[in-house]
Parts: sequence; structure tokens; C-alpha cells
Amino acid sequence: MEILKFSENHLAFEKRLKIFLDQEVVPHIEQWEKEKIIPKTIWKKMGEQGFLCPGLPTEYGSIGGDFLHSVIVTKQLARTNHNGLAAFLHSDIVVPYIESYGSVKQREKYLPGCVTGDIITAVAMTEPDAGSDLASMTTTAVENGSEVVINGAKTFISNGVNCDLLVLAARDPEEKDPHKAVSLYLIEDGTPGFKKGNPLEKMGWKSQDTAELFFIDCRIPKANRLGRKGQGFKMLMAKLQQERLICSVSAVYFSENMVEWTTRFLKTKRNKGEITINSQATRFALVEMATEVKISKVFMEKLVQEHMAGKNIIVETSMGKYFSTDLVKRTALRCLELIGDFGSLEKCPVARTWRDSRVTSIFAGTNEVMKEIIARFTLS
Amino acid sequence: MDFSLSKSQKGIQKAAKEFAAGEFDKDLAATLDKEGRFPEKIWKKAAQLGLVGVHLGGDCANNLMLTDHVLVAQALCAKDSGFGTAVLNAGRGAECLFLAGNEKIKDRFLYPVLGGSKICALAFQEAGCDPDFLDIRATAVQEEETLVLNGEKIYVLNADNADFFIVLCRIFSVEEPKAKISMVIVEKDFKGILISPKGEKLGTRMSPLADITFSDVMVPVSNIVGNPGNGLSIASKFLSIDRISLAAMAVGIAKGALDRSLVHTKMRKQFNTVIAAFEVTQHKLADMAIKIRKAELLTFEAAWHIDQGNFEPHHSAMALSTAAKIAVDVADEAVQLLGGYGYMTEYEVERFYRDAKAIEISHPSGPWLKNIVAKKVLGKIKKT
Repeated sequence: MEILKFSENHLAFEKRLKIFLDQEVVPHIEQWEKEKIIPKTIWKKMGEQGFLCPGLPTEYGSIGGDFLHSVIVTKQLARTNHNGLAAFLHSDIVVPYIESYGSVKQREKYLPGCVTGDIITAVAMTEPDAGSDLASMTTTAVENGSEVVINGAKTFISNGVNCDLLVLAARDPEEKDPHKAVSLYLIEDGTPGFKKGNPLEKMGWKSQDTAELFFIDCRIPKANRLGRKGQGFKMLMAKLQQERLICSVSAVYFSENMVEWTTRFLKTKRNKGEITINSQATRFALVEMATEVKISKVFMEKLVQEHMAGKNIIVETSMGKYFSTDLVKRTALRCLELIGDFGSLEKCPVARTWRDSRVTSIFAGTNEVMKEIIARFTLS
Repeated sequence: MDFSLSKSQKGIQKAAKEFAAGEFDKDLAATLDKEGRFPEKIWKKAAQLGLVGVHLGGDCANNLMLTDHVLVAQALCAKDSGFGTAVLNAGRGAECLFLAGNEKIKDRFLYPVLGGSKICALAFQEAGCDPDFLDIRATAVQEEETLVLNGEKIYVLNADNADFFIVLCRIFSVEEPKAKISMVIVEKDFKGILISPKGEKLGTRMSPLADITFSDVMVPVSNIVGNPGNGLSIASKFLSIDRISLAAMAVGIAKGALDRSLVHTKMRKQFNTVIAAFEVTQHKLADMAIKIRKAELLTFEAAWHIDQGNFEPHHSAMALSTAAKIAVDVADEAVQLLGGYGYMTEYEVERFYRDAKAIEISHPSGPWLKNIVAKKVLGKIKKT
């Protein structure tokens, strides 16, 4: 069934990463979930070990890997059963904007830090009144000579508190066509007028510092614009394929882990009256989940392969995103039912996975938006 | 067949709704949920208004008004899943005392629960024992007028807050060496009780869980509910009532989730329209409403059977297995309809979702409920 071919290099990387996460991350997760943020030092440690931005060219200090390294990072992070350390957001969603659209100067200035973990990134698109309808965003960027003045607010921004560098989508208030109005800008933490809110209280992803961001006459040099003016939407659309794909990767691995854990747990319950591995209904439930996960994994791996070959798979990655995130939610719900009473306690790992997985059908474009995209491309 | 509510039923429903609207503060709910704390003040107020155990207002076991309790449970839980379940669960088990307790027991334990001065907790479940408690191991050896109780009970709701526990155990005595499963009241201040909290919960966090170990606990014989050997017959009736009570809470939670979805979708604008205008959104809301009605009708019918004196377990099993799942489905959809906001604790629906899930996966399990229904539907089967 193997679709993805991992080399010795990949496997050695994975082994190192697993040890790192077990030592530096896993023992602290409960604490971080309470604090609603992970320490910046963890990002630095990840960077030092070459676990961030593995696919960037080596001239920026990266290990010179490929997207399979990103898949491995996502897989091993899923095993830790938390989402505070959003490495795939940084490496595979935000940094690619800088890599693809940054000027030579911008890339030289920021990418090395992104690799070392000295520069933690975030991307700010969503606003309180502009979620699925991104084009209706109201944060403005007024380009005035050599500077840009930004006013507005963004919300639900992952890495919002920890970020050193933000990729911001903002509109030119003079441009009438919303699809031509948006540009992307690089904003450094500490820029006067750029304020960060406190981490938002969420159902899950508790160790992730998701926050609101505020811009009050925030002035940045025009040299901080990323790419050409008015090309914001085009750039966002081009990068969403990878974003949605990485969401699928994460969802499939979380699903796989839950089914494995639940199966092992049920094997330890031997008493009549409890749900055990011996009951026919239980066996069928586990088999059904394993089947769905397997099928979803094969699709995901095929998409990774096609993506790495440079194919345009907007439709398929949208399908994958909604399908695999529905799967991880559904799997969590079903596993908890099988686990029973113990599943109602936070000390059961599936409880956290369930809470964390709930957001996946909402972020990176809701699953309803995914279906709209697929419909638009296939049903016209 | 008249499906409409009577005047008195409408009155009770209104009273519960008004109480909840006035007392269930959204921010306090979020705080108590986060801290895993029981809402003592609100519970007392509810009890003093007669909202806790409204089905136990009659003067004898033939006078249960479970349909009234179902209406109260739905109204309270729709306004707030946390407060609703916490307040009602504080009286969980009191039905046993109503069904089988003598006047002394009612005076000392039942009426204080109904009045808001005592909280009771059920201690039936043990590790590895049947969901219908046929093989429990907790034992009370009778020596004259005292029972010496030993045993371990698990997943006791509200153990920490309870003033007394309703315990199923086997009573042995020299005269009656054949152990009889009985129900006894164990008061919190008796020596030999060890309560071990089970830690943070996924949902219904205002009602903490604990395991309890009873080591040579001395219980007066006067604390036996009914007679020795009555334990399972009382429990079996109680469990039918309990399943309906949980089902009613689940229906309420689902209603609360739908209410919030309606408010949000009618107000939230994207793509130059309120999102309630999208066809798929409308179908989702319709599905939610249909599911709620299914659960509501099954629950109400099950309660009606109890009120007629029919304690057959399959009615309540159908109601709970349906309502619990529906509450999870509906609350899940509510989170989706609220989008990013649905994931934020501030917008409540994620808490309704967690509370619904906690009810669904807690004892009794879904498969067990289905077994009860299958037994009724199939009757006796010849395996060979």
C-alpha cells in the first residue's frame, strides 16, 4: 500500500524528532494547556535541531529537505496529542509566502530566522466580520510614499501572541474591486501601532496562543510589502493547496492514533458489562474506523505525491481537507463512545484529541467552503 | 391523542424557564465550568422553588409526575447545559427514597434534597460489574443494629459535594447468610469513607466525579431503604426514571444549542447576506429541529409510561439512547454554524457540546441501552 517513499535520511530525521519531542515537549503539554501558550524557547530548540522549515533551500540554514520532512513533522506532532507547537503552520503555511513572494532582501532578512526559530511567524487573514467571506475584510493598508499605514483588527490568529513576524492581508481602501484590493505585508512584532490581544479561551488547541491582533495607525516601510500590490488574493489562493493538504495530513495521523489507542485500551478491559474487544459490536466499530482511516490515508498520501510533483490539485486537496477533518471528528466521537466513562475524564488522551479535532472542520476554510470550491470547479 | 401540554404543565415549564433566565448567568457558568465547581447558590434557589425533584411532589410512589420533571429538565438545560445538569444531578437518586423509603428516611434525606439543604449521590457502579448491578461486590455484614460496610464504588457523581450516598451492597447476617442486594444510605460523616476525586472532566464539569472506598463503615440498620433484598427492584425502577431524566437533560441541551444557532445565523452576515439564507444552513437547522423533536417525543412518552406506573426499561432506554446521541449531533452542528466563534468558550455552544458528550458516554453505555431495547423487541430467542 506504500505510496510515499521515505529515505534513510527521512527515517533518521523522524527518529531524532521523536526523541526531541518526547524529551522537550511531551512532559510539558499539560502545563502549556493551562497557560494557553508554549514558551518561545521551544521554537528555538526545534529550529536548532533543524526541525523547522525543512523544505527551504539550504542557503537559509535549513536541512535542505522536502515536503516529506513536513509530513514527518506533522505525523510526530500528532503523536504528542497537542497543537500548541504549530510547527506545520509556521513551516508549511506561512513561511512559503515569504519564500515564494519575498524579495531577495526580505528572504535574506527573515528566512534564516524562520529556520532557527528566532522568528516565529503567523498569518492574519480572518477578521471578526470577515471569515468565510475573506474578500469583505476591512483592515486597511494605505500606501503613502515610502510607508504603509495599517488600521484594523484580525482575529483567531494562531501563533498570535508568540509571533515575531506576521504576514498580514489588508486592503487598499481606494480600490473598489475587493479581489484586486488586497495586498500582503510583513509586520514585525514590536512595530508601534501593532498590538496583540491575550490568548483566546477555546474548546481545544488550548496550548496554542490563538489571539486577536490590532492595528492602530501602524506604520511599516513600503519595502515590507510582500509581492506586488493588489496581488494578495492571487497569492493566498496559490498557497491554500498546501495549507489544506497539511490539514489532511494532520487529521489522518490524529485519526490513526486514536483508533490505535482505543483498540489497545479496549483490549485491557476484560469484564462483562463493560465494552470490551470481545463484543461483536465493538469489533465492528473498530474495524469500520480502521477502514475509513486507511482509505483516507491512501488518498492523503496520493495527494502528497501529486503535490510534490507540482500538480494543481485544488479540487482534490479541498476534498481531502473536508473529508479527513470530518473523519477525525467522527473518529474521536466514536472512540469516546467505546471508551465510555473513562473517556469523560481529561486524563483520557482521546478527550483532548476530540476537543482539538473539533476546530479542523472550521479553520483553513470551513468544510462548507471546501464543498463550494469543489462544486465551483466540477459542477459548472 | 392529545400532544399538547396541560395548563399545569405549561405553568411548570414557564416557572423553570423564568428561573433559568433570571439566574443562569453566562459568565458565571463559564467560570464554574472552567474551575469544575458546583453552583451551590443556584442549586439552593432552584430547590427552594421546587424545581429539583418536581416529579417527587406527590405523596406516594404511585404519584410520580415525571413528565413535569422532563419539562423542567429541558427548560433548565436549554438555558444553560452546565447549570441545568448540575442542579438536577444534585438530586439524582432521590427517586429511590421516594419509591421505597419509610417516613423517617424521607424526613431525614428525601425532603432535605428537595428543599435544597442536602445533596445526594449514587454509589452503585463498581469496576467490572454488570450495568444492571447483579454482581456487585460491596458487602455489609449485619451485627445487630449495625451494618459494617466494605466496598469500592466508581464514577460517583458529586461525591465531594454530597451529604449522603445511596449505596447498593449485599447484606449478610448470621440469620440470613444468603446475601441480599440492598440499598443503604451512607452519610458523609461516617468514619471509613475515602473519596478519591477522578480529576478534570471533559464535560458536565460542575458535577465532579470520584471513586469511593468504604472501609468498615458503620451504618445503622435504620438506613436501609425499603427492606434488605429490595436493592435491585428499587434500583431497576429508579434506573428507568434516571434514564429519562438524563434524556430530558440531553433534549434541553440540544434545544439550547439550536436556539443559539438560530440567533447567530439570523444575525451573522457574510457574502452580503445573513447566513441563515443559505440552503444548506437551512437544511442543517431543519435537521436539528427534526432530531430534537424525535428525542423530545420519545422522552415524553417514556415519562408518561412511568407516570402510568409502567417501569418497563425499554421505553427509557430508547429515550436515552436517542436523546443522548441527538444532543451531541445538534451541539456539534451548532459549533459548526457559529464558525470560529463556535470554538471559543465565550460563545457557549462548545460547552453545550462537551456537556452533551459527557452525558452520552457516561454510564449507562449506548450498547447497553441497545441491549435493553433488543431484549424487548426480540423477546426470548432460541439460540439453537
